[in-house]
Amino acid sequence: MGETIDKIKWLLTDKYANKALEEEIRDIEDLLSPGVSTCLGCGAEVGLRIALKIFGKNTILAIPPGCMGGVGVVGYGLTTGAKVPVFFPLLDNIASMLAGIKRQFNRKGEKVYVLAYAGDGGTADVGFQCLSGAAERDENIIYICYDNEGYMNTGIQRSGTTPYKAWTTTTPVGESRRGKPQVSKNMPLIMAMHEVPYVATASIAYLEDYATKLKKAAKVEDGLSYIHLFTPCPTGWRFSTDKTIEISRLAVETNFFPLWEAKYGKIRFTKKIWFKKPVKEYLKVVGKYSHLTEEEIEEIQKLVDERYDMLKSLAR
Amino acid sequence: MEEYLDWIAPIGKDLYVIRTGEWRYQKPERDHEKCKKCGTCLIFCPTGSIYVEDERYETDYEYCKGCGICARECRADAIIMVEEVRE
Repeated sequence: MGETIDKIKWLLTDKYANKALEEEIRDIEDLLSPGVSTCLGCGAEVGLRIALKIFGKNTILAIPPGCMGGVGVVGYGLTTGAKVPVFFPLLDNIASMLAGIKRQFNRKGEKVYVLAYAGDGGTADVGFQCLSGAAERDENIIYICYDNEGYMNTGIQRSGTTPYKAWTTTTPVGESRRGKPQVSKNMPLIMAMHEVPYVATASIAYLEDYATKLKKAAKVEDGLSYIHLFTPCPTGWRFSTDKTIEISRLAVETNFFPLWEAKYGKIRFTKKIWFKKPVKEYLKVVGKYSHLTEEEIEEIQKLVDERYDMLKSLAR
Repeated sequence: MEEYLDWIAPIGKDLYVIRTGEWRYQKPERDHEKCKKCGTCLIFCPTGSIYVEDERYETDYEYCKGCGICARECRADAIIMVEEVRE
């Protein structure tokens, strides 16, 4: 009897929801090289492997400078890190270069997915102008931003999406400075306000949800689709390598990073959190927030609530 | 698509592969009797080194970096991390 109750409890957890996805992707060939030199417990690598499995071989992949470029997904010399055509755009022309490639394939009458897998620096800071332009011109590309909240492969510098009060090497913690003094750029919402066909946020803890969103992005034919993927970074965020998934689950459960999708600017939540946890539970496990005092945690809680309420008022 | 690849985005001659298993300082060990075959470890593994053989989930130690995500996410507690001993 006890065993049955255990099994039912286990079946009801979120984690079991991944079974359907697992059965679907288990036998698909992994289109990324088995050995790329990402850090132990890298969140972005999970996201790229799932994305390539969903899109399949008929994909052209753009990897701008960033973590995924540095670890060898583009390859070195005559080698390549992926089994699909992969190239290395500059940070400031990712979306426009992909748009040109897509137009050429359209002219030839071939259906190809052109996919960018860019970091948050390449999306929210350096590559923003071309992404915004491509969104406005309704270029039919798929843009995935893996958000590890900083320039992690160059030495953990702050970026536009680094959250308020977070430690990085360029926003140090001392007597006069307490981490990043500004709030983060709300990148997915900025993209949703371009009213492109599909914008979504995703988390690597909810891969089923992420895979559904990838499939929806693949179906879009009349414009840009953008997915903002939350990928914790053990090296830059200062936590042990096995907690990557747990931390990204906590970020969703505390509403720090809510999951939603927007079709032509109309926002809809995709993951209802029934029992919301306080942000403190998320902040206390991530090392880059370890300097925070109670008052600062209160302040962050207020910011998170305000942002969630604003999103809720936009959602229908 | 192949005919355009030479001038749009050439595929490299070889696959770039690093034997990341050599980095490992701890190693996942699986208890097959406890394993409930839910596949959680398979989808969350960053290196994609978990595979299914004869209905059993196994780890490819050639590329497993030993991050410990599989052991932490396993609901059935079937995976434990042990120290890697090399000869």
